[in-house]
Amino acid sequence: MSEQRLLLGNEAIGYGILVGGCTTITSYPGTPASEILASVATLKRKQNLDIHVEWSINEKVAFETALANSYAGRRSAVAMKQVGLNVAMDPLMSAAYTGVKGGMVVVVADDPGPHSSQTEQDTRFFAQAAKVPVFDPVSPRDCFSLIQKALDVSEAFEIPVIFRPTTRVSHARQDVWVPEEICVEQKPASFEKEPTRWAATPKFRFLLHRALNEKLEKIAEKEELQPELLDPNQNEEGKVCILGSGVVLTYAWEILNELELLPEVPIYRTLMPYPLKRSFLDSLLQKYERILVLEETYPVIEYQLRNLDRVFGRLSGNVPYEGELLPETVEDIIRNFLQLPSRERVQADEAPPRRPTLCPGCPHRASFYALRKVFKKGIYPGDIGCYTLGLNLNAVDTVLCMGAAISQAAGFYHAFKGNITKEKPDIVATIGDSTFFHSGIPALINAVAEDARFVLLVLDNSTTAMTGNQPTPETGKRASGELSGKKISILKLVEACGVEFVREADPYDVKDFIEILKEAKSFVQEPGGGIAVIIAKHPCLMDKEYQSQFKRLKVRITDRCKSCHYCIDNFECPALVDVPGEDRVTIDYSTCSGCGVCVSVCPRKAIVIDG
Amino acid sequence: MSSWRIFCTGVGGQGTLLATYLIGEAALTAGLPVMVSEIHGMAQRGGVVESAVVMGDRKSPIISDGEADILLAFEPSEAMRALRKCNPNTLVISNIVPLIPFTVSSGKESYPDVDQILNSIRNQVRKFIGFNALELARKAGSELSQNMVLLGVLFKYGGLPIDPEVMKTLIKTKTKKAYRDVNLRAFELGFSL
Repeated sequence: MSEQRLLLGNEAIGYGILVGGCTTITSYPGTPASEILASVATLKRKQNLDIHVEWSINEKVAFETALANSYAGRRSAVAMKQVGLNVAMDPLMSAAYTGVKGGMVVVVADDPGPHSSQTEQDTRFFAQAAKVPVFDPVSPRDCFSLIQKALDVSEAFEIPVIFRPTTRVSHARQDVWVPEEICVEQKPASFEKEPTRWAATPKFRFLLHRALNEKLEKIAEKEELQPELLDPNQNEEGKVCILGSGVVLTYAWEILNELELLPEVPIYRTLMPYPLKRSFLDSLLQKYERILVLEETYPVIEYQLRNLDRVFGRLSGNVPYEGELLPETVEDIIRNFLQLPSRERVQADEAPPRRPTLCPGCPHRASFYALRKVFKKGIYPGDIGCYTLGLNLNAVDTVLCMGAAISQAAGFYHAFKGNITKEKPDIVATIGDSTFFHSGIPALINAVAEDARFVLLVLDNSTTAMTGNQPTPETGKRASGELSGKKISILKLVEACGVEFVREADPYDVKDFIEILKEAKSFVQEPGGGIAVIIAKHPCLMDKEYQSQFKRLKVRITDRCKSCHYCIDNFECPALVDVPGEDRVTIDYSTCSGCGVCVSVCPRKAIVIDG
Repeated sequence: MSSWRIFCTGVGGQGTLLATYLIGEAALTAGLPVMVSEIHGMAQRGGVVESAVVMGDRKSPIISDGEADILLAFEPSEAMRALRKCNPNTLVISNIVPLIPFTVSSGKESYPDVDQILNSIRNQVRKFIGFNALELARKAGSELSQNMVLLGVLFKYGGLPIDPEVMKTLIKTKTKKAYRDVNLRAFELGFSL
């Protein structure tokens, strides 16, 4: 029995993965990919499915875990955001050579814009670099069916394949028909030893590479993977056409529909933008006078066209090289391509900008406040997570990639160590608990071994907060909510990395926390000192379990407040507002969490707790 | 088949995503083809949250500038920011209670005059409905139910091909148990505006 549900693209992918027969599904959370594994984990729990679902420690581990399941002849899926693939690129490059037995789909969600990422890299380009096929869905409905096709191709050709939605597909919802009850086909796990493949030495790698190239040629030829008209009601007449992949083609359809030009300009949609069949591209070039290529974000399809003379795209300078291709941009491009006048648009009045901010009651805010109190001047390497927003509190100076806060803190130390100007800034790095597990540990070991000196705050809220509160290895919880009983202690890990100064403290206790930071500061500066690590431990207020235990305090501002703005400027809590006409700062009780931390912040002691 | 394109805008924490999700579910119940577009992640933490519901025979999940049939704004300055999505035929439904951005609180920016904003919008669109959603939400029992007030107004004036009872049933089944009665009251207060 089927039911129609309003599914996110990512949820439709989750369904597709299970209906497609995957028995191991792994992921590391990251926007816009997080809901993929979350939906699989929910289906596992609700329908009691016998599958292995895990939030892995990072994307490389996730990839390798899923790959082994496919070595054992069973189908697998691994999901991540685009920058996650950078972390998993090492196993992907090699897995393309070894291939798989059971189908394996690598779901990588791209983020043109970017909306929530440090780059707008195009995963289709990475697929080309790794020499694996890549599929590009246009809608949630398409996600559900196309990913099953991708798994079939993977298994038939024994090659891992990439499935690449973009933010607009991952986070669109659509009515999708899905089975009410999912039955995951269980194949027996069996591992056939074949050292020249699974453990190939360089001598055999050459042969595997050749086999890979042959697979790609065959896949490109496959009839059911050939580009098709996005809208089957369109015909292939006309002098010009649009060729592309992904959601951007749906914008093109809307624009042509509005211009009543759908009959004249066919839109060819490549299900699999790489590898494309040579003869298809040649026939398109023969048939049409001019071709517009629309794709996000790099010219992947465009590079595969042999003759670019009559091609309108990035390489001809007609499509921007950076940024999301929004419908307005696409309309300008299409009008330019069709030699139509550009469209006039209303310019809206400017509204005051809003920047994202840490939630009211966020324990990170308390940590950053204390950090800035003790370290007034310094370099503050930061990392990826909610706490990147320490930027607003001037407590984050660098954000590079997962885990870089620690290695960069060490790098800054070495840079300034023998500084000829004698300037030696304090170095204080911050990293979240999930990011520390993800890739902070090797950096910390390295920093200790190289005798770097800095203070590190592990902002431990016992969850992966930014992406929707996925469990970390510290919690002993697993993806579908099961308790594993295996809790990994950050404190012990830090000690095991060789750090001699380790303290665990609650940043809500502002005074004590500041004292510990001062101790850390002197330890770092002592001749026999070293790296000091403070684990700032307080649960995330978005964590549902914690919400039920959290004791809300009733905070009030007394007439001692002289509206000096110290709290607003240095603590930046959204619940503390300056209402025009009021002679004191006001608490917005609809957003106040009742954490009471601001009481310790006010220099005039004008904020008090009632009762 | 005709189509309806609703652009929703508000500030992180106002419940805009729940509201868009419920409109989408209502369309599904009413048997309309539907797409909803959301942005998750960092923007949700106090930033601008824009989302869209597209019902009917369309392919794109997002709404291009000038293409919104309805603008549902949870905050007046956000209504102004989103005016680029409107055209002279658009219906604008907006809360008139400002949420002061931090950039204004900290003295770096100024908040525009609300009456001026509302008048400027009124002059550029087919119909403008502005009201105090906060007050109605308080009346319903919780400030957090402003999103339900807006849904009520949308179902009253939006001309959607969906029975308001469908939305009431969804509020009863899909929102948090502890808030169901409040939410329903808020929807009805919006609906009787």
